[in-house]
Amino acid sequence: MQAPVLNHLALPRPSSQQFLKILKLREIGVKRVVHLYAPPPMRGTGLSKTLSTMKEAIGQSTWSPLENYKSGTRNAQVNIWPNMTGPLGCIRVFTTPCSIIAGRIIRDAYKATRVRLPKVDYIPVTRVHSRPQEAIIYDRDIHVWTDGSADKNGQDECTAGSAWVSDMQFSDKISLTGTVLSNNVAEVAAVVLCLLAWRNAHIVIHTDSTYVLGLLKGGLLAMERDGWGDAPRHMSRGPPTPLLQLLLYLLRDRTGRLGFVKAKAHGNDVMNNMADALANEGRLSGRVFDVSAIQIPAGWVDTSPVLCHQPLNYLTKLTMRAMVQTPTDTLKFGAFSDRWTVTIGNMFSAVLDPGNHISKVWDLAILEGLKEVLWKEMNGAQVLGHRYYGTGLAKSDMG
Amino acid sequence: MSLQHILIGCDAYKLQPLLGVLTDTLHGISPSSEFKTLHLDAWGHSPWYPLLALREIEESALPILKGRKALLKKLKGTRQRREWIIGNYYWALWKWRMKEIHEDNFKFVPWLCKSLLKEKLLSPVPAHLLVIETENDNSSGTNSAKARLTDGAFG
Repeated sequence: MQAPVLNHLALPRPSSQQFLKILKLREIGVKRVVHLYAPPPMRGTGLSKTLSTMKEAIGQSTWSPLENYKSGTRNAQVNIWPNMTGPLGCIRVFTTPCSIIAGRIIRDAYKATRVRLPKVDYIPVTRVHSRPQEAIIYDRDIHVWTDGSADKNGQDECTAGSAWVSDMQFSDKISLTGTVLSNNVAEVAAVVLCLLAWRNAHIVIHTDSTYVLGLLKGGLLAMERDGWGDAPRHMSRGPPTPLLQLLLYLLRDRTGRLGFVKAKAHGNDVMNNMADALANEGRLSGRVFDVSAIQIPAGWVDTSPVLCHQPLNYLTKLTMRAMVQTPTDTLKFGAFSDRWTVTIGNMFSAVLDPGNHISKVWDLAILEGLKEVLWKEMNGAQVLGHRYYGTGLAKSDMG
Repeated sequence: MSLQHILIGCDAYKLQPLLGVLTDTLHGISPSSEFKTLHLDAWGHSPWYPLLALREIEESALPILKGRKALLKKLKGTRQRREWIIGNYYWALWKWRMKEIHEDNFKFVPWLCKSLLKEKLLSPVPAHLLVIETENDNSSGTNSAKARLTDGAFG
């Protein structure tokens, strides 16, 4: 009989009976019991008892898991089978109430009922409108570690990825596009991705990003109040405002408990390091998450522009623009506006609004006569008057 | 004769010597010579167009990189001085061409005017033309703060 592949097996409450069940697996083809992972809550008496039970059940005098356990280092996986050669037949012993990974179906260890998890293998950017049809209820908080990764942070060619890892053996990773990319954006995307995956579960998110925590402590609400004007911008790509708005929407739309914990970056936090590694993988090979394609359901987030915190001259300009037709908006300047826009676009690859710049000729640090010459050139008028033609001027002007 | 013709030159009077003086002067005060806004020979057939939006062009042309902010600050510090230099160059060309047209005893020879042009370009910016530029400056209220400069101040 070919040995079945058992990647994970749940043992929420280790007992001799359950281990005996495991041993029966060996009879049907599992040749090796090779791996035991002892999370911190299980260390001590509980693990010793479990190992003793296993030793008695296996009945092999040559194998001493207790000795291996004692000689093993802390926070390390304990190899209790000396002939381990590969992952096939690997059995892990968990102390937390979880979990057999089987697609999207999870077996609740305590209640022994099948519940359906949110789909974690897609990025529902265009489907964030729909609420999950099935409520998922866990009797404990699920801990999730998020992290973002950016290469060439802050530069044009920056690439970024995000990932989350949970203590339920679920994880996900993505590659970001469609906005100004940076490490902070990747961190926000990781939290968004996590919230999308765990819409209604009670979760505690561990993040090492001070930026994200700042957003949650009031930064998001301040941005909403101020019209989302503080988001970083770039000429060629849009700001990550949709991502921030989606984060605010997900926070408001939650029904489950939500907590945040500051994790130490690149420290001894194993899960955080796993999230970091997964985010790096996501940056290189994750599914594409297009921030510019995000659509926020109406009514959840205030996306309207606001006038507060704007300088008086900007408000005056807005009012005037809405009420009065300026000379530069008239047909006289139409031809020049078109020529100027095309020329600047061709020469400098910049798209500028001529209406904002034509009047700036009067603010340039140039001589008044030249300003008038340029102004007349712009509106197609003839440059008339003796002052422009050199008569009556001092010799020093002419050389 | 169009403004474009006067500012760019033609085969009858080639402006390369004067353009060289202008470029050298601009590079002498600029933090970097890699910007297109510092090479007027690359400004095409409408050389004064970029003058209207030097700040926006330079900010959009700079990629997001380390030290961008410092470089932008340096560019900002020299922008009005550069406007003054470029404006003086155009005004000098305009005046010389007008004088050549309207006065019989004057012939505009560009390479003879190099030293005089250099002297004009190095003249200080009048204090009343200097405007404190802020991040959100839309320049809508700055006209009243400026006194108009008359032609007599040139030279």
